[in-house]
Amino acid sequence: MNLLSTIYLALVVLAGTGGHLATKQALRRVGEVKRLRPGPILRMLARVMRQPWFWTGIVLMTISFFSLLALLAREPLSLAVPATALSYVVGTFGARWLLGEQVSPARWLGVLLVCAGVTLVSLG
Amino acid sequence: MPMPMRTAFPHASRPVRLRLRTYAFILALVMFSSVGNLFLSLAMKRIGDPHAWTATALFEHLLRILSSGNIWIGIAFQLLFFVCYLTVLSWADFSFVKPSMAIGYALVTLLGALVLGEPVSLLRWFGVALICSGVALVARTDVRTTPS
Repeated sequence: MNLLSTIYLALVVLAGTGGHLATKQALRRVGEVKRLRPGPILRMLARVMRQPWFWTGIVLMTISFFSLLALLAREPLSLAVPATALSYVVGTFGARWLLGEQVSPARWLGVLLVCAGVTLVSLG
Repeated sequence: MPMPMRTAFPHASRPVRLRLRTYAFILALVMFSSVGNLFLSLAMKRIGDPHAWTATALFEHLLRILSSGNIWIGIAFQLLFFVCYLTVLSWADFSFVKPSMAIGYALVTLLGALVLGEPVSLLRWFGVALICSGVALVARTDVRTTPS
């Protein structure tokens, strides 16, 4: 695996995770859907689409998707495994440091188990 | 789906209702996503690779993809997934939702083994067990840790 593949791999993980975190930030500004009926959900969708953070998220996820395609054109499919597994850990760090979510030791342990489990499932 | 959910847990207290609601949404969105992927993969397996890497061949390939019914069923399920994902993220922590969604790997493996009779390696079962225990741990933490 050379430098370019490493950059693609980093982009898959970082842009993908960044995209989800930006989407979460947009939703935080929109506020919680309190009543689960079509009206409030549609209003949430209309509002979130007016948030710059939402479109930042969409752009980042698109970059991540095309980086994955570029990575898979150069490297075997098994290289997508660390990208998927790493995104759980990177996403939790991002939620902690960028969004200020409190990650308790139990949640961290759960994330690490999920990360290890996803690796095994993708390899097996 | 939103209509019956409204009165799904009428007697539960608000934090409990929020938690049950979150579980229900994560399960639903994971199923929508898996079913969506199934239809997309069915469609693409039938269509196969483009005949050549020229502009005309690629355009014909795109037309073949867009005229497949299964593609649109797949896209509809993916849209449903995304709406549920945005809805649950409107109240729940990202660090709660993201690892919990890994339960999809367990569901897909179980369905593959039970419904399609696919062989599942021991390594994969071990991975599924790790994922289930991880999700069980995450699911016990607070759904939301930031102020509204």
